[in-house]
Amino acid sequence: MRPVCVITGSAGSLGSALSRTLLATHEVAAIYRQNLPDVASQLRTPADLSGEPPNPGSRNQAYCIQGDLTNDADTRRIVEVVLARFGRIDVVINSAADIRYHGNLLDIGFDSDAVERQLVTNCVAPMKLVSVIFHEFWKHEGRANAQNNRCVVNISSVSGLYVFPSVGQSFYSASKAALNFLTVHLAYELSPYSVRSNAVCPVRFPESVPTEKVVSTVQEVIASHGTGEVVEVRRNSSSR
Amino acid sequence: MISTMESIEELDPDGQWWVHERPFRHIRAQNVLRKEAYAQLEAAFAKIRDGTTATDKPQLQTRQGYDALMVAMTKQLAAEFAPLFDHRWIALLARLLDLPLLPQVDGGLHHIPMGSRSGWVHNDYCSAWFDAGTEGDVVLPDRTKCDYFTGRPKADAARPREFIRAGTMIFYLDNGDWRPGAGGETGLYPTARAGIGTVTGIPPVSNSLLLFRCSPHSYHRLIANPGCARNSIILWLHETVQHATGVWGNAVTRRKVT
Repeated sequence: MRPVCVITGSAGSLGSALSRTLLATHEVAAIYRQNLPDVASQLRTPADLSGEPPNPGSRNQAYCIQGDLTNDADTRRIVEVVLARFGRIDVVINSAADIRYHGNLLDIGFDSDAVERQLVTNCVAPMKLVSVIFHEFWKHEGRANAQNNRCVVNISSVSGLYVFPSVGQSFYSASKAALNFLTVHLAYELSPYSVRSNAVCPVRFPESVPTEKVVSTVQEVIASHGTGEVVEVRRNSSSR
Repeated sequence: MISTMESIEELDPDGQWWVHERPFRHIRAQNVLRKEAYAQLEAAFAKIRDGTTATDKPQLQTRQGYDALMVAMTKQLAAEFAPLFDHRWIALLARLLDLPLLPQVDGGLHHIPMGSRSGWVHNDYCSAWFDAGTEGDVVLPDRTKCDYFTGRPKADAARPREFIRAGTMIFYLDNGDWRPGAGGETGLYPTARAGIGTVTGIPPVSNSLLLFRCSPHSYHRLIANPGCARNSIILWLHETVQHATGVWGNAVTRRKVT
């Protein structure tokens, strides 16, 4: 059986691109909250204009699972469904994110709870998902984890590495910086179980770096043996 | 795909046609026609749309309770809006929906002025009446013979025959100003009650289409369009009453002469 990859935020432009690309080598569980991922799946198949009936069960389709990862019950259900369908999880790509800029810190005293929700979506939810997968599957699979080079890839941002002032992205930036630190902490905690944890930090895509470049960097990180790395992705280079 | 692509030369070979399963099975396609073929359709449509405001007797008319301006499809218009009303196109749609191919089709041009209200949620699955004496590889309702919705005869020689709407195609065109947030999407619903369950909005992007099998579940409506006008061509396929009741039993909405 091909390795199984769980991709969150799979309806986003990067999540959809990752889903389409990784289908060539992996079984893909595409997690989405509202919009359908732009990938062939049991919910969306290419129409054959010659009149052949649709074939929802064919290979090279992602398996889409709807859920809200900020809801613990949804997170547990998603993991249960993935394991019930595929029996294993080899790669987790946390690409779900709240990418909004919420403005000046000096104004948030009058704001709703948008920044709290951003922190939960961008930092807490990815860790909870990994935690549930760990307890449901990886905890007793040390040897298989090593044999299958199992890993977590957190899609972070260059905003988590540097401060870009005056654009109102303080909480977004902080959430990605937190995700980078959590990635490294996770690497330490997962190390005894032979599961790796890395983060990928692209500049804005596709404006400043092609989405394909981000996807290929994620593929390289999956295929590597490194852990605890935070990989910056710019147009012409990736640096750790 | 090759056989159809060869027989309908207006189809864009780079068009993307996808079958979606929720809230009910439907097909969405983008870049449907080649640029030149699309441009011809858009020009023909714009001519009629502009005529609405330029003459005292507009072709596009309102219907009670509905903000849309519409003109029903006629033989003459159908020729103007080929390939959409060509028998090869009808055959393609029937194949995609796994329907028996019948020549009976209806359709129209729809112009929804900016600021229109949302339509009502409906499933299109209802009776449609054609005169049995009309033949051809594409048969449009002859409205001088009988009422399309009720079968009420309008001429002595009329022989109204009941069919059931079996498929709906909405081809979006002349919507170059449309942007997300402008409204005018086609909302798809799992039930007859809007707001219950997930609403899927199909954006009216020019040269794209929505196609679905009419059924007791094919609930949809026009969503209000505060941002810009929304234009489309609609086409309905039909099936026999026997075929429809064989599939859906008494769930078909039958409409008869009153």
